[in-house]
Amino acid sequence: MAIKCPIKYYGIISDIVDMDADLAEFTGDIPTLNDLRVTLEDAFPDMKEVNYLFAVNQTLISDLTLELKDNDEIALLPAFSGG
Amino acid sequence: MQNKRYDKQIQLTEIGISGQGKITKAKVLVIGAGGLGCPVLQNLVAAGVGNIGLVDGDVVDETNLHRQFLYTLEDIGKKKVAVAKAVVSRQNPAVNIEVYPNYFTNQNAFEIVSDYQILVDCTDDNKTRYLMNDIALVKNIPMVYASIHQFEGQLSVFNYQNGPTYRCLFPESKDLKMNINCNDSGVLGVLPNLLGVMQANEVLKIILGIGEVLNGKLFLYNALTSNIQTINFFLNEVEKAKGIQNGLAVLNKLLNIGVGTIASKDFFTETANENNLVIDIRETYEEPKLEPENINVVPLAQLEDFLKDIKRNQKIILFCQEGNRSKLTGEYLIKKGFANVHHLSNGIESLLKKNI
Repeated sequence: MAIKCPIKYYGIISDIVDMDADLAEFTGDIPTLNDLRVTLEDAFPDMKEVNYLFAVNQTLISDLTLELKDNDEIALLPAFSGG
Repeated sequence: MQNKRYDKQIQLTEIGISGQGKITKAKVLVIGAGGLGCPVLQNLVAAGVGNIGLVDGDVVDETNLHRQFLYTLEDIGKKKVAVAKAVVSRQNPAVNIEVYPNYFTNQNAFEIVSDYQILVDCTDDNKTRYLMNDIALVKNIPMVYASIHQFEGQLSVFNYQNGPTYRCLFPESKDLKMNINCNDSGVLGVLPNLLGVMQANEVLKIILGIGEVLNGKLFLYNALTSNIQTINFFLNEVEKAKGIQNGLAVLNKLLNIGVGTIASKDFFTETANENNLVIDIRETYEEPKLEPENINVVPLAQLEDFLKDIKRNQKIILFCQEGNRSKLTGEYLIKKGFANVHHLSNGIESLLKKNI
């Protein structure tokens, strides 16, 4: 069964992936947040240079072993620095 | 007789005369007099915040004028804080404004923060944000944060009533490639102005004790899409401890705190005092052992773990065989934020000589 999760990209992360939002699709094993991180960082190596955090359903998640469910809303948030 | 300036806000039942009194008594420090700092300052001054500090070492540049409305062409090259004070003092002469024409650094941070009750982060670099966060933790005062990236803004309040800190949201990373300030990345003037007004709103809510402060919530705004989102985050004790440790280390360095020495003749008086935390840092095979009950035997490898719940102002007495290791260990503990560290200057061997 495929799992689909909407993703929002913020700040410099959205510059790197060149989009504000996307829909991630996973097939096979239940995906974790870390699986998503690895997939994205493989596709966009510049992301490895950025200090960013994950939120799932509007809550900051520090444990990347979290298993994703269909329709989980994921956000990738870097710290902003301008002022 | 009281002037009418604040009548419209006093009319709000949440504020009233007593609320206005709180605003008048408040002491708020605004760090940064740029895109965020200008609207923060203008709004706090207009609301009648009685005591405002403004910190910035920068001078006015022509590229500031499209978003920093306190400054004009004639001000180019002048210190921002001096111009800002002159302008807002005309807006509301009753407000006491202290200016600090320097950047906020390890060297001046504690002196500037002094007895201000709220820090407002209007800077454009994350290194200063960590410093501000850590000082706010040591002083146990809240920090109102905002920051922008191109068309996006972030807003939150840290260390409010022991809530989460900047480090809980963004743990410090050695990699600072993300540290691009808005000079490099471009900014539309309306965005910092909008965020600055919202920072002033958080400050006023904190002063008045009304509404819901953005405690443990990161507010996100995208000016292009008008998309708004709020992310919840939580206190991370490990990150908070890092912040307190760094803040205390900055303080200790400032106070020039070093490792105190204890002479062999005073050693047993000090160890007998149960208020002191006495630690034998020697390895378990080292002789001779000392018997008094108040001595903790903690080899170096276990010391950090042993001290993890110890208050940073606890008097600690370290000793080793000759006094070298205990001195180095003491210096390390001071860097970790401990402020009251002593060692037996010539080690156990000095005690033995005395007994011969």
